[in-house]
Amino acid sequence: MMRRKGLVAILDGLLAYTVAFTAIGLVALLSTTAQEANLKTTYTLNVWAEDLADAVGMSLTDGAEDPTRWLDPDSIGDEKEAEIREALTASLGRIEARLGVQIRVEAGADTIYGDRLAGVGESATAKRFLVSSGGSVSVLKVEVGI
Amino acid sequence: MDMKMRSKSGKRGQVFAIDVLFSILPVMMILGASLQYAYLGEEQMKILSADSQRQGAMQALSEHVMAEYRSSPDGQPYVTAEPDYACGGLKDAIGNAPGMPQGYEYHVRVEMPSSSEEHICLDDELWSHGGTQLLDAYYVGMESSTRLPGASGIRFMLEYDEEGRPIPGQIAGVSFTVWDADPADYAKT
Repeated sequence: MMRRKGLVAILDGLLAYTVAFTAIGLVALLSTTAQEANLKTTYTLNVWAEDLADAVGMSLTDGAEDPTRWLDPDSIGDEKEAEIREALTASLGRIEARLGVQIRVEAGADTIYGDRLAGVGESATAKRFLVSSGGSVSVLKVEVGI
Repeated sequence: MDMKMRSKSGKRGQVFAIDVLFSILPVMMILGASLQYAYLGEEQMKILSADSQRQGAMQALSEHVMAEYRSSPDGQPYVTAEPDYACGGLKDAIGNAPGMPQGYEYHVRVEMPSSSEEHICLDDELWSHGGTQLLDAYYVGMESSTRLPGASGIRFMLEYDEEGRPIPGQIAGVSFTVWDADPADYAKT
């Protein structure tokens, strides 16, 4: 009788261990899968923000001078600047609609495109320096959220 | 209820008590479920690993093309609505990609251009690398590739004019997609 009670106790212990092991394994697998999905989203948004920052930065140049040097929008001229802004608005609007993201672009204190990101779960920001012909520096900021 | 046997000498002995059997049952069930769970976890890891490799191959090609694009702002047009230039810069960058992993098909396509054409550069042609062929091979159509799992990503670059210079404000997307090479196509090459 005592031996049988001992055997049942061992089996109870084995049962408890197995349940605990399985539960912990399930929790670990679920949290790893969720973390991986978040990492991929964050990486993708960062890549998009960096690419758009390069493209917008390159757009704010005087192509006749040096297309690799980013200039302050004030040195481009009002008419040219208006053309560039209109093209940027159309391009960024297309990208927003196609990918289902929100985009905001600021150059210094000036908002070039978009409103404050609202209701986004993840976002990424890329920054570039804009250097004017006079040597003053302002910051170009591109935010992408989803 | 006891389960008892009689030995050769006629003595009765106990084999198993029913309560012990009942105690073993849930342990065996959970062990069985755990083994199934471990097997499913292993299969899931194989899928994740294959997905990760495809993502890596796609990112390798896209990073290479973007690096070439950034280092040659006044070179051949990358993405352009001018049909005569046929996105020569983009094609050259893909063709120059060194040591791309084998066993995949690589497709590059221009998306979201400022032009009214849905596809620019070369109408519906896609640049692709299938099986062991060189990266400057062409495939038309995507039907065979959509059956297989793939990885894709989009990068952005400025469009170019006919003089090979970026057009300010006109941003296009370039999508890079990688599929496992169809074994039937693989066998032909």
